[in-house]
Amino acid sequence: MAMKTSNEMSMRPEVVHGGDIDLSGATAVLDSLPVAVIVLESDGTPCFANGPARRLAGVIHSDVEQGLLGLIAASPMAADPDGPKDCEDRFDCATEEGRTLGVVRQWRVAGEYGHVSVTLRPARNEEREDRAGALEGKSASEQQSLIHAEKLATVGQLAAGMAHEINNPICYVQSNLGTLRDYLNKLFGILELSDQLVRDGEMTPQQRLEALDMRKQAADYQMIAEDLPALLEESREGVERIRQIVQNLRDFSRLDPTESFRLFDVHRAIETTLDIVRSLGGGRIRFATYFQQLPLIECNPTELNQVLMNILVNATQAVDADGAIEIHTEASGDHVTLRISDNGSGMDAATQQRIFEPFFTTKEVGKGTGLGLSISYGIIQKHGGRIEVDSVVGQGTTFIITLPLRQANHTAEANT
Amino acid sequence: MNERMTSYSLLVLDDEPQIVKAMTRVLARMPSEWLDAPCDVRGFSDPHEALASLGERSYDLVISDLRMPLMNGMEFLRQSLDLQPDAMRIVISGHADLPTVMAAINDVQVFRFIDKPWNDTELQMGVAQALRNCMLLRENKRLADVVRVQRSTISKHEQALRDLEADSPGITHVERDETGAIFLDESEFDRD
Repeated sequence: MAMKTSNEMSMRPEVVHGGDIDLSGATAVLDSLPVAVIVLESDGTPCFANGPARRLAGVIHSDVEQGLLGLIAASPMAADPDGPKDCEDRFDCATEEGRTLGVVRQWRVAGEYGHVSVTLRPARNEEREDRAGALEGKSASEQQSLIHAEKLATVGQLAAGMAHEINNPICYVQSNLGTLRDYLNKLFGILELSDQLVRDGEMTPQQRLEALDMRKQAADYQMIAEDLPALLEESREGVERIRQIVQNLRDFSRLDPTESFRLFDVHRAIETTLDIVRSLGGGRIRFATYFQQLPLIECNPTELNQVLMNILVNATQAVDADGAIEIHTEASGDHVTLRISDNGSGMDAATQQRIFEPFFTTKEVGKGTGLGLSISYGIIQKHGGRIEVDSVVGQGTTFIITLPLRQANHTAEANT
Repeated sequence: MNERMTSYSLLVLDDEPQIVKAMTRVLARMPSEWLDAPCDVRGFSDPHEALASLGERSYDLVISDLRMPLMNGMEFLRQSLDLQPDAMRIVISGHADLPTVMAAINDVQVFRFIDKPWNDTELQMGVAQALRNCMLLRENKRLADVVRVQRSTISKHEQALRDLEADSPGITHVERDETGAIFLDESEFDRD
């Protein structure tokens, strides 16, 4: 079943396509609308038309029922050969279970009416308004979860590398703690002995000194005194490394749709992302950054990180043993440009054309979601920027991202 | 038996210098009752430098990581096997999947596979056992050599006796009576 509505003033009838809609109690309300509403059965025949729809139908055809058919018919010419001309009909498209929303047909009615466009909308029996609202809300949250799922998939790919990165510092910090306990036992042993020696009235100072020296020698006192500061410093640095890795991962995997645009340092975003990506390359890939002085740009940092991550992860997967990835930044006028180049396998023209399509992937099943670059594309679009790709098979790929310094629709929230 | 060891010579390789240092510390405080001599540990984070050192001095034990950016640990151990076949080898790695472990045992004759992060005591025990094993093999070899030398000395002696016997039959089994006088069997003279 479909519902067709039309705004008489602007001549925009709308056809709402849906299930069994009960309009018995709403006729008066529908009649008072400034929009023409026609409800269709699923086979396309009208079962209800409100006042405005009937008036519009009367203009198209002397017989109102025929006029209604003409408004929504697959072929309006058949409805009235002398009536509407120059009609574009996408009715079939719209009746496919409401998959298509938007303009379905345009009418050019001779003289006074000009263009009339018909819009098909899907409708369902249960609380249509609420549902429409819910549908919109849902699609937004669905998109959000899709973005998050893609993010987590990337994190999953990173996990093996991350485990290695975190494991190393854990190894030596844990082992160093064991060594520290051993050192402390020995030091306390020396302390206890000196305590005894001091309280022992019988011994000469010379004897005390000799006893203490012997104990110190046995406990490797000199070695401990030299090694202890280094041991503590290395362990502290190891814990700091773990903290940094966890922080990076958190920054990246955070789902924060409320995070607003703010002034942010692009170089910081690049460095954070590189820290994570380096673990993927296992050290075999050479990363080089060529940073020019850049002003802060107004952006959503989490989203920007995700774009960089997607491109860099792809780059690490495209390069082989002696891979190199370079990142150039430069500012010119009211925008900044980021170039991310790799010397990997590159892409042919056909692949390049499709990389921003959702679910397009060249990776084997389970390795890629095919969403990374399409989401990146969406994010850059949202920022009012551009993302382009330049690739030669066998030579490598360069992604060029251009971002404006300031967002047109958002005022800079420098204090947030 | 053999001359007393002054210290054991160990090589530790890991791309992470802090791990090398941490392991060196653990080995330096090896309980003295487990090993009859201290460990002299040389640590490397560059596999090529480690290989160069293997070409210069003799080691009792080589400990290596597997995942390193400059060289695969398995490749390093293979080369160390060529350079010093008598040294023991221990792998210390956080990535102990079955094919890797099998390759380590079958291809490069690894004595122990220690997981990362390691347990200090386990590491010390593994190293002590490897070193005792190394000494045992060396001792075995030395004794086998001694036996071989002795055996060849014996066979030389036997050859001389055989020549003598061929020249003067009966001379190698001279019989004496209880006073030490040579006992001659007169029937043998009668034959001529």
